[in-house]
Amino acid sequence: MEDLNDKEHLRWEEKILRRAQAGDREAFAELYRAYAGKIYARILLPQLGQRSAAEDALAETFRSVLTRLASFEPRGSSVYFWIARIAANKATDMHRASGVTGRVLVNVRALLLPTLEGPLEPEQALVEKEQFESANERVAECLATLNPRYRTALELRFFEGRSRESCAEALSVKLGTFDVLLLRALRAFRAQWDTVSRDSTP
Amino acid sequence: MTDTPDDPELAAADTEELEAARLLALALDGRSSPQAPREAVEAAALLRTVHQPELGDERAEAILSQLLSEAKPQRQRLPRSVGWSLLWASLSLGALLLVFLREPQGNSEQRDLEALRAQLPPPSVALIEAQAARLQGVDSAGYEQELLAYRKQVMSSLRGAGQ
Repeated sequence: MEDLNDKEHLRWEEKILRRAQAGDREAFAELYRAYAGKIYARILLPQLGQRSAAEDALAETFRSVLTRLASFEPRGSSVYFWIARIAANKATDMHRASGVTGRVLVNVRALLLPTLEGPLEPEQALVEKEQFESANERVAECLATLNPRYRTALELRFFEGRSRESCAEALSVKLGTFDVLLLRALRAFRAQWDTVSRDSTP
Repeated sequence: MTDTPDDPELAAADTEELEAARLLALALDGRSSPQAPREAVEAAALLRTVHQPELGDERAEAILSQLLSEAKPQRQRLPRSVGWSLLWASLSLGALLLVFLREPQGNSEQRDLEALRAQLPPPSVALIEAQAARLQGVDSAGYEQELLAYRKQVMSSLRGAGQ
């Protein structure tokens, strides 16, 4: 895990922050480019489980950063942690609002938790890249146990990101048939994942 | 293509499962579907998140452009103590301007009026008597002549003051 509180990194950040706080848009853009990807991958996507929702939350997060940046005081730690807190709050707000918006959001972090190797930073709710890689290996293990037709349906839809129509065509089935096939494949995968998670829990 | 009851894979699906599959499809396309089967939605989210957790550069830049186009970064705020000092200084300056600029202006207008009045000729005794008689209802033929003569004197004085 990279050290965002490293002195050299903080010195760089301080210069950028000072410019951004004075209204320099290019400095704000530098700050965004430095942290938006991390905020999305470590916090928002794991807490929302849906790309479009995570992107909306990311925009909301940096909108708040833009508004509140002038009052931010570093106090010896990276601004990343301040932004991360704003992002986590936005994700929580989205979950609360999902009853009204009808958006189906999933806290994937909670699903990943039992299978992740190494401790998570609870206050920052981070899911590190290495931990994703380890979870990815477990996903592959679970997929390997499924029947080939289920596995293909899941790979086409979620790894290749194909539409339902395209998946149905690739599997030579009708659209309604594919929907049922995908439901069964997901249920089978979930049952396998829960078994792996139970076995991993100390 | 439409589904038919004799489709071998659908044949085993009951009404409940067909409805669950339909709701799941809606949820996975990001549409409102709160009744979608939770365990399947969670499994789908897990697969999507773990497989590709990164935000693409193109999407990241699109979000940044949107942010910069709709909002202006705020200027850095002055420390609170400096803000209060500036406020008090402004109020004091305003008060001083009121006291030292407004009051002398009124006095100078009054002084100018008095100086002008001093330059005007006093009305003659004949004019005052004729005016008094007129107010008592006695018609005085000399009143108009006296008034005309006085007007000429006043106009002459004003012209002299204006030069």
